[in-house]
Amino acid sequence: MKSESTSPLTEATFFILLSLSPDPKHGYAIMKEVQMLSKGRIVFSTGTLYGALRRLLEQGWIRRVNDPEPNPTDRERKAYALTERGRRVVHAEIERLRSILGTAEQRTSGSPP
Amino acid sequence: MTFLGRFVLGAYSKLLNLYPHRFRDEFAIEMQTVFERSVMDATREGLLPLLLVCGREFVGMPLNILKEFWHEIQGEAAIVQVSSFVPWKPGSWGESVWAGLPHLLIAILFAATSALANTGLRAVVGIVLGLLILAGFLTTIYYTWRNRWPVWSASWYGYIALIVLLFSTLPYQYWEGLAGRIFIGLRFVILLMCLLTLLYWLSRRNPIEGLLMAMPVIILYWFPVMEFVPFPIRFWLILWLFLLPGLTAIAINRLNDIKKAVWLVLGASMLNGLPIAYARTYWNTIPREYSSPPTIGKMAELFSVPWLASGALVLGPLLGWGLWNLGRRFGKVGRASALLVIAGMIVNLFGHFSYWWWFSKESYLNAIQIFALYQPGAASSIFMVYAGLAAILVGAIGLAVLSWDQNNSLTIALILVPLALPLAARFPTYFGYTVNLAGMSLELARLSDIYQSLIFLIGAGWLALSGWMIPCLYDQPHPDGVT
Repeated sequence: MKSESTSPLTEATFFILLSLSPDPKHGYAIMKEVQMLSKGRIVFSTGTLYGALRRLLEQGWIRRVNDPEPNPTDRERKAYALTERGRRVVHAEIERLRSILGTAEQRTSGSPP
Repeated sequence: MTFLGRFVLGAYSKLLNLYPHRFRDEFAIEMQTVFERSVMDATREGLLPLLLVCGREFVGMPLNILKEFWHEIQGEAAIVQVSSFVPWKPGSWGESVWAGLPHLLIAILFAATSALANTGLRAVVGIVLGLLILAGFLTTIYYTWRNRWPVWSASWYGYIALIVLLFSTLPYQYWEGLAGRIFIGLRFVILLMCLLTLLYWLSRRNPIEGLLMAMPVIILYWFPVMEFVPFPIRFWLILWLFLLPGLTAIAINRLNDIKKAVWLVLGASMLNGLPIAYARTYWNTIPREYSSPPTIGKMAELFSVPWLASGALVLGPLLGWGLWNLGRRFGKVGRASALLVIAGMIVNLFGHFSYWWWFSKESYLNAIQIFALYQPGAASSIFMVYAGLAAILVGAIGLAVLSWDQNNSLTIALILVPLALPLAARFPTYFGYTVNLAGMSLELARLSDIYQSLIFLIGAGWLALSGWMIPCLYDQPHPDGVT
């Protein structure tokens, strides 16, 4: 298992984890959610998405679960959910970003950090 | 769905086969489903969105595939590190025969075409057997690609080195200008790729596969020695040269044990080389006025140099990887020491090569212009040899000190192995003789027969000892405690 201290996350990784934070999703839903969350800046190809999902699975930040929206006409679909470790990573990253933002706001508003 | 959509989906499903097996098994179905959804949605929106989806997917695909292969390689390296001495499952008899088959087929091809030398059937039999070998090779590529590169397939891939030989038979010396330069460059690139592949297989993927792959290359080392050996003897020597590696490959695949495999490869090369060196020394067709008298020392030289050089080809990467894993047990200093030894070995090797090229300007490899830059005999190659030796010494002392703390006498003995070759090469200087660099048989010709024999005996002893000691490096416990 790889180390957990991987902050800062890449933007793509962060948005994938964020897209899974409320509930599990399958590949296509993750793709769309990331596009929406990043306001269209990050658009995954299927290969890039699954490469990223594979690494997150190996790091133990996400896991496979049964598809929350099974569709009988579809082929077998897997969904992905955040693990407890993945959730901690997301929160740590949010804290880090918040701290940076706070420092930046203090500096630009003129008060000492 | 439109024709274009169906076409794109069909192409995508075929291209998914280019991903590594493990990745494909895990994600291919999902990827196809997701891509199908993307294409269906885009098709509804119009042609431009469809083209955008396809462009994004297909343009990024080569990079994604390479990334996944790189990830696989790193993953496999980790598995090899952990389980390099967990005995893998021995190959079945069927698989083992497949491992020996390329050598046996070439032995049959050679025997049949030689036996029919003066008949009209020679060309026909040669073409039929050649086509059979080619078909076998292509079938193996396809089969092994679909079946996760089984160990036995490495025997077949070793013959890729033949491409380099086929290339070298082209009349490039008559080509002028750009064509000649491109050809020389291309030949160098192919040769380098073959060597790097061998290095990777031996060190990072599976040493047994690496040994199987190296065997055809080791066979090639003996061909120059056979020059001037008369035909009937030469026929039997070449037949033996391919038959024995065939049987060895079968045994290696069946046993699947790195220690035994190293000994089998070195042993087969020795049993091939001794009769060849004997025949060249005592039964050659060189007129008396042009040849030196046949002596034991001459035979020892003809045998030892190719045996040492071909043996070092497989032992070097095994040693380097083994020392690296050893160094990893001792943290940063251990890794730095191991790297120093490995770098020293490489620099030392290049020093010897550059010196060798100086003496063999007419030889095949010297046609590669880039190496003419060294122009040794000069300070550059001698500096490389001694700088490499110094790096080996410093790194080895570092590893010895670290191992001393761990009270591991076997480790201390093991790290002496890389020192043995340069020391053996320096050996004649203790007798007051001028021998410039290791591997320089021309200089050794000045020595008396008994000293020549002694030097080559030491070299052979070094190789045999290394063959026993180096696989012991793979017995060392894993740094994480995994055995």
